[in-house]
Order: sequence, then C-alpha cells, then structure tokens
Amino acid sequence: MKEIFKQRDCLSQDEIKRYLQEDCSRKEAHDVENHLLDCPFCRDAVEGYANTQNFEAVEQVLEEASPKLEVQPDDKVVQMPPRPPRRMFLRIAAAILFLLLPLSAILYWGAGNENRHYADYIDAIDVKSSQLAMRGNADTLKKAEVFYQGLQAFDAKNYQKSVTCFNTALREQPDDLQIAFFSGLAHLKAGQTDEAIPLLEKVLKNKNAGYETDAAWYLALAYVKKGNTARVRSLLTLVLASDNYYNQKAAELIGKL
Amino acid sequence: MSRSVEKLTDEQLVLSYQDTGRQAHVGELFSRYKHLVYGVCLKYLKEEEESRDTLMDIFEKLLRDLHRQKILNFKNWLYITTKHHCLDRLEKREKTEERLEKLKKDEKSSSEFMEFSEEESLYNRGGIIVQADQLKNALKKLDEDQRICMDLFFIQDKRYKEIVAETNYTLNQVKSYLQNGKRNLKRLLLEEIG
Repeated sequence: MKEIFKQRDCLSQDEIKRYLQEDCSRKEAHDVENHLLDCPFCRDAVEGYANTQNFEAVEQVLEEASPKLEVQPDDKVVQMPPRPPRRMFLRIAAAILFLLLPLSAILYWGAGNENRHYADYIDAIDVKSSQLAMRGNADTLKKAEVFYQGLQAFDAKNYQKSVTCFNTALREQPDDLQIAFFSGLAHLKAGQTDEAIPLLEKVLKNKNAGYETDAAWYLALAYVKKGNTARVRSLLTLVLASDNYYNQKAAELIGKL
Repeated sequence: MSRSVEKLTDEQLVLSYQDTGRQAHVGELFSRYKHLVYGVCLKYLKEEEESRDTLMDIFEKLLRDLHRQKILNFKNWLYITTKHHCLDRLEKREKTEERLEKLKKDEKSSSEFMEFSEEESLYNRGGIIVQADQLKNALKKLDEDQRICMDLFFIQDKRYKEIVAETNYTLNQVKSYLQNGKRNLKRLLLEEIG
C-alpha cells in the first residue's frame, strides 16, 4: 500500500536546511521531495535557499525578525526595523496632490451622474487580483504564464498591459471563465466599457465560474457608465442577495440611483 | 504570545485579526511562514539584503491588508502575494524591460515542462491511499516520461538526483514529469474510484 498522496505540513526551516545539506535520512529526503512536488511555496523556498550556503546568516535574519514580532506586551505595537527616509518623496507627492485637487474637482462636478457614480465606485473596493484569483473554479492557476503576467500588471494598475495579457491567454483558452472575468475587469478598469460588458455577461451567466457576484458588481458599474439604470438595479439586487464584500457599496449605490 | 494563539489555524488567525485587530495574530502567522517567504524572496531577488527588506515589506503588507481582505486560504494567498511582491521589486530594480523579460524567460524555461498546480496542491487536503495493483494500472496510462519517473520515485523510492543519474533527463525535467505525473495519476485514480 502506497501513500503517494499523503498530506503533510509545509517544510520547517530545519527540514529545509537538513535536506539541502544532505543531513537527513533517505526516507526523510524522499518525504521532502514528495511534498515539493505538490507545494509551490516550499518548492520556491527550497530553490531560494539552494543558492545560499550560509545558513547561519539565514537563521540570523529570521531570528532578528522574530523578537520584533513576538515581544508585544499589549498585542498592539509592532516594532518595525528602521526604513529609509521618505520625506522628500512625501513632500513631492503632497505638492502634486495639492495641484491636482482643484482640477479633479472641476472634472468630477462637471461630469454627469453616471460618470460620477462610476468614478465613485470603480475603485471603492480594493481587491487585488491575487485575492480574486484564489476564488472561482478549481483551475485557478493552471494557466499560461501570460495570465500570471496579466495579474501582475493588473495589481500594478497597468490595466492596458493586463488587457493585452488576458486577451492573449483568452485566445489560448477561449472557454476559460476565470480569464474571461479578469479580461472583462481589466477592460473596465482601462475604461473600455463596451469590451468589458460581453465578457462579464458571459461570466455572470455561468454560475460554475465562481465569479457570479464579482461579475454582477462590475457589470453594474459598467451599466452605470452606460446610463442603463434598470439593468444596474437588477444587478445590484443580485449582489445584495448574498453576503459578500460588495454589499455595503452596492446598498449605497442603489440608494443613489 | 499565548498558547491559544499558537493552536489556532491560519484561517482562524486571519478572522480573529480582522475581528480584534490584535497584531499578535499576524505575528503568529508570519512566524509560521517567514522562512518560506524569505526563501521565495531569495529565489527571485537573489540578494540577501533586498530579500530581508522584502520580508519586512510582506509583514507590513499583512498588517495592512489582512484587515480588509477575504482570504479563504492564507498560505496560498501569502505565496502568491510574496511572488507578486518580488516580481514588482524586480521590475522597479531593473527598470529595463529587457532584463525583466529575461528573468521571466529564465523562470519560464526552468519550468518549461511544468504545469501550475498550486490550486490543486494547496486546496486539496484529502489523502488517497493507493493499492499496489491500482497504482501499477494507473501508471500504465501515463506518458512514458512521466511513467518512468513515477516508477523510479514512488515504486523504487529513488530520489530526484538518482533518477537524473539513471535517465537522460535533467533535474528540471524529472521534477516536472513527477509533478505532472502525480497530478495525472490522482485524476486517473479518482476517475477509477468514481
């Protein structure tokens, strides 16, 4: 009887060290290698340490991080290591903000209700692609590298680049609803509402995708921009039907329509 | 840190931090995985000082982001977050697209034969005990390269480097054939079980 798929915890620091230094039994090493086949986190970490011969230095780095995290008398204050001064950067950022504020106000109040609502809500929920990618169907990360590059560009707010990446991935896997969702979302964030709508509609129709609520929320915003209030209402009602992190904003927005 | 915190699962710690804001919970999560986070940083950034700085960046990010994110699988989220963060750093460090493309190409070529399986591996916690005859039958259905590596690793209990020595495969190929072979084997066995 073989326990090929035996589950175990991730590798400890000591296990990684002993494995790389060949300081473990044959069975232990085989067990580690079996775990590495399944766990990308440990696999990458072991690869990282494989180039490091000086484990004492590694242990020191990790130990230095420990006291700052563990010695917290009131469980509130975490001492962080000193970081480079960023005052100049902050001053420049503040100056730019000061100059841009009046311009933004003119653009904001000059726009119609549709555009104002859209602008108010499109970035209201700070969801990273890595978080969204963890949701949905079981094939989450069995994608081409270009899909991953799309996620990265999305998180860097480089929406045009992420659109290009997701569309390339979509050409390779045209039936993949997760890619369709990200492509739709990236189009929307890039201001390409007409391209976003059919993709998000497709995702919304398929309950197996696992992105039904996300698609409904972002579709609602797309239709806000298009001025289709009836469709916005029905989509927001769908969002409000389940408990999710769009609820509060959806309730706000429906009240403003 | 109290013992009770150490006994909580990752996801319980995340929820508890979201409810109470107690930073000790994030500290516990960080202490569980910091050696893996640092290893991933070393892999991608190649520099100890920058990796150390990134390790603390990730901790700050945990304190900041765990509050407002709905996280179903913390370990999976942390891995992806760390990898993203390292690639972002590389982008800022290198500044030139050519260098970044080269790094991405290197990563791609090192996993040329690999298919991503994070979701399956990190989410699927159910074990399967395989009978010897079931295993042999299922192995026959795999591609030749995968079957050879799987046989050497799981039947003959060879290690990666021993398989490399006995075959013409590179280390990366061996790892890749084993990863994909194991996933395919699981699928075949689950189909058989029905």
